[in-house]
Amino acid sequence: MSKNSWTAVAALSFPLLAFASSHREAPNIARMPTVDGTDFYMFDSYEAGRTGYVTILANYVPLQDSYGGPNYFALDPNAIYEIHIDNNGDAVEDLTFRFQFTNTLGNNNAGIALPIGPTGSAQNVAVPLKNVGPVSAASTANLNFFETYTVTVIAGPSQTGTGTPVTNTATGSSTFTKPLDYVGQKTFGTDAGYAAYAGQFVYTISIPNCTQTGRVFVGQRKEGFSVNLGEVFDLVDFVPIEGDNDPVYGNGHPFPGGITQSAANNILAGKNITTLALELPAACLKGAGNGVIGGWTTASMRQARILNPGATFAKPEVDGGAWTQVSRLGSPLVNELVIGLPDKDHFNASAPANDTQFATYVTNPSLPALLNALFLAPVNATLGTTLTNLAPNNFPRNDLVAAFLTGFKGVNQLAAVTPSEMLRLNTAVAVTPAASQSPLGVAAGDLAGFPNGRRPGDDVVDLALRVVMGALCYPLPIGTNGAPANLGLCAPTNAPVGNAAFTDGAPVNALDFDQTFPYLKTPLPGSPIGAM
Amino acid sequence: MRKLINTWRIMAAGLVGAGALAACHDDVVTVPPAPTASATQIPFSVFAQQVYSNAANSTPVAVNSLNFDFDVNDDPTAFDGLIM
Repeated sequence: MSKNSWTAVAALSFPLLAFASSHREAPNIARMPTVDGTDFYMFDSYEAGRTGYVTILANYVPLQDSYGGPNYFALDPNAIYEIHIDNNGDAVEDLTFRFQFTNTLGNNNAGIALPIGPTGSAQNVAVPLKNVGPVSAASTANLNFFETYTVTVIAGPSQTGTGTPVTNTATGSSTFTKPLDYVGQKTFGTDAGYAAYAGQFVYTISIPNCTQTGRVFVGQRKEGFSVNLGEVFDLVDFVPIEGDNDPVYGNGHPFPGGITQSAANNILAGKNITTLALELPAACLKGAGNGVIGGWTTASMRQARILNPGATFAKPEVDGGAWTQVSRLGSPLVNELVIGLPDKDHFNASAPANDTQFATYVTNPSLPALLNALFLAPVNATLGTTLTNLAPNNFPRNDLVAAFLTGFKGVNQLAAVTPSEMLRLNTAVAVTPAASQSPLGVAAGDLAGFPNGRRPGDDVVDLALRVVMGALCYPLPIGTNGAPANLGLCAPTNAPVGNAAFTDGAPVNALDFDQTFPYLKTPLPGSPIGAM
Repeated sequence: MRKLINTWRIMAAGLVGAGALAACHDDVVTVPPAPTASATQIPFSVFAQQVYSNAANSTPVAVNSLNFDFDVNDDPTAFDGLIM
């Protein structure tokens, strides 16, 4: 398709699917935000001095408005949050890091109370708030709510493996603290005040069966995912092709009327998220494999939940029975773009080893066909062309099988190849410093980026759009010295629009983030209004 | 039909009893087997108590092929034994 032929598309709207990485992506999980995994990152640490470490970030509790008091966004104490690592390619986890949370009130779990009433007859009355005065790195005496957690490393399958607790190297304790969410600047002072407060909950940890230490942090962060979410849902109320010569997102053929990159297009810029962050020695993750690791996060709840008709803080419910997985996330956008609506929660409840049940969604994806059905006739009518199909025509879509299920040989494919959905990282690939990273990762010749793992600054929305529409059928700059090379999975003739610079116009870049663990930035404050 | 339901109740009650012997249901004593698919209506109260008593690391019980008799819909105290 020529540049001119694309001009007509500018007048059309593209009803793509949901493009929040995994925010509220399935009907059932949308009812349970505290266990809704939203984004999963796994990359070789590029913080100075941390060569040889892998950083893993699992985000939960989507679309947090920073002003969401008085209870803000605690995690579920009756759930488990897990990060799984497969290092031999059998699609079964070899290591699992299991987080479990406990909530307690101040005043020895009775809640801070104030004497109310005349002197001599005052009654102690519990306050309704999670803090009763300023909080800082130096003093947390005014806190009335505490979240603590443990991290257990399970060797072998998570259901049957042996668990050993992670401990704080400084204290030997296996209990860690999650900072209170960023209530606002009156409570915490400036952003720097909150950063100092939260920063003290970055722990150096001893990891079972690992001679090196790692780090852990759990807490609220500024949402790092960048997407033009509202307009995408509104039948994509923009033209999703780069409209100028943006040096990163453009392809040298600016599309008249196409969207252009603007931070204003990222509607999530005003949101916070809750991050479970680990920094782990790569040597302790690789096992006996080839240095490529597969990772994914899950959340599970007990199968039986009995609501307490006399709910209290300590017992709003009772939970029992088998851990039952309700959320799963490896590579971004799979459950959004690939899995059909009837199976989205089934996917969330499934394990990678059983992913062949979803294979048809990958080999015969519906999204490109939907786009074709909706827009082929209008395009041809407008342009007077005789295109027969906008969607790629290579079936089975082996390009998507590689992208979603197997990884790319020589880049991020594990020692054994078991088709399964997970995020795959080659820990041997040298990191790219933040200033040099490309948001388009491997597709732009930056081999340390998505889909070789995923870094905060990787623009997975644009990449997913391009890949689904056939970008892998065209040469990529992954040959010697960045020379164009075709992966051999399909040909340009298979993908009429596979070389279009699809984009949602919401840019993201590594420099948007911190360059130190846990990388995601200090959250937005709940007040004052102008600071949100 | 009633006989079948009663049989299921007895079986499930036995399993619940075994689970209750463990002071904490995290402590695995025995893993009650998952109920087999049945065309019979299963009392939800008994089923729920069995599921509640299953070990944390057991396999969740599939429910797609089970037919429930929601026998405690009008009884808010049905699970007080678990809550208290």
